[in-house]
Amino acid sequence: MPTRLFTSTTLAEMYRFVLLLTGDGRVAEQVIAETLHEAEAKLGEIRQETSRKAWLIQRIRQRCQRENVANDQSVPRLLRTPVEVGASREILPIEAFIVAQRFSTLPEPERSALALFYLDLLEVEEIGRLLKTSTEDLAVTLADARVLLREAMEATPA
Amino acid sequence: MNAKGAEALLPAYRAGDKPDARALKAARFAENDPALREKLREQAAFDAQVMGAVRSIEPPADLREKLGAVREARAGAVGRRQWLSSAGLAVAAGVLLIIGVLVYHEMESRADFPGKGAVEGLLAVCGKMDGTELEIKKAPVPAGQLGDALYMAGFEGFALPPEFNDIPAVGWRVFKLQGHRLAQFAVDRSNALVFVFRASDFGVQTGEGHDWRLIQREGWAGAVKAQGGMCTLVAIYGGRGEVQDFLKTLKRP
Repeated sequence: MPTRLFTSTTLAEMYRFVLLLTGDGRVAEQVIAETLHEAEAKLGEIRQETSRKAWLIQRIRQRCQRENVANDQSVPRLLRTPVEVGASREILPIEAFIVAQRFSTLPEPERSALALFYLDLLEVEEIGRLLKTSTEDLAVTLADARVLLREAMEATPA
Repeated sequence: MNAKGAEALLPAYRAGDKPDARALKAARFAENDPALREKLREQAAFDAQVMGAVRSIEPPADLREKLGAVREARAGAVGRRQWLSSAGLAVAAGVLLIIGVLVYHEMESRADFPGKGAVEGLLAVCGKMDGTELEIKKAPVPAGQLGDALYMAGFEGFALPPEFNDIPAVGWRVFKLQGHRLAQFAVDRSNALVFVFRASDFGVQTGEGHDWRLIQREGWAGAVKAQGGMCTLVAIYGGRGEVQDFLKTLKRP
């Protein structure tokens, strides 16, 4: 029942976000269900929040991080090594779910930062607040994340 | 802003309706700097490709049903654990003692009343809703203050039982069913939906002075009461017990 008060658009946004963070559709359903369950139980707390969306996103992210630690994903994490940004390479044709899977191999906080940025779930300042970083540092994180995602897109599938 | 500052902020630039002000300034600076312009072009091209891909991800068509199933499974597991605990057994013993009284009230509330079918039809409406129908408000409003908004939306004579006046409404609408207008609002508690309609429009007679009549349909349970020609129906996804629990939370004036 908690889903009744959330629009289909919001559910779709949540689903995409979890998928990018975990790369697993079943985990996405589990995480969203648990978050909505919590939201239902804490409606009063959410009401106090300036941004309900930020509240939901923060809870979803925490759950995804716990899931990722618990599942010890078989997909190896990319190392945070500095990589020269070369010319933009063609990554088409992009299969959306392949992108999501590659996305989920990025380290944190690059993964969350880029997911929130691309999904346009929060404004840049809000992303910074969520990740407890300044806009300048967030810009560095986003630049690193793009480089790592490019690498991941070109990597041989596991 | 100089080239160094612009280059540092450029990665935070996201094209769209509301780009970050400082990142936008950096992007505008980059437009006039050959090296940064090329960097911005590459970034924008990559972003557009990935954004297009990730935003095209569609959740399963039956996501809502799956979420409900996950929640029920979780609730079931919690329920089983609680049942097995000694505290759960003690509570069960207490419940058995009062069950006789509850059975009497339950049988009373199950009695048919004129218009019961129409009210059950309204519960079926709940099952078809996905949340987008209601105009969701940022801040809850006491339900008793919805009269003007609902009047402006086309529903005249909105009235609630006094105990509903202070409950927080988070969204509402006026819609037509079988040619009659109904007001509906969502409560920021128990995910309850409340319908208000003229009893005569749907031939509902619960009996003046009679307490709430309980009904059930398609996984939804409701409590309906007619007062002064206006009917109030509370609908909650779940069983009659959930509706009764909700009614108990209302403050009697």
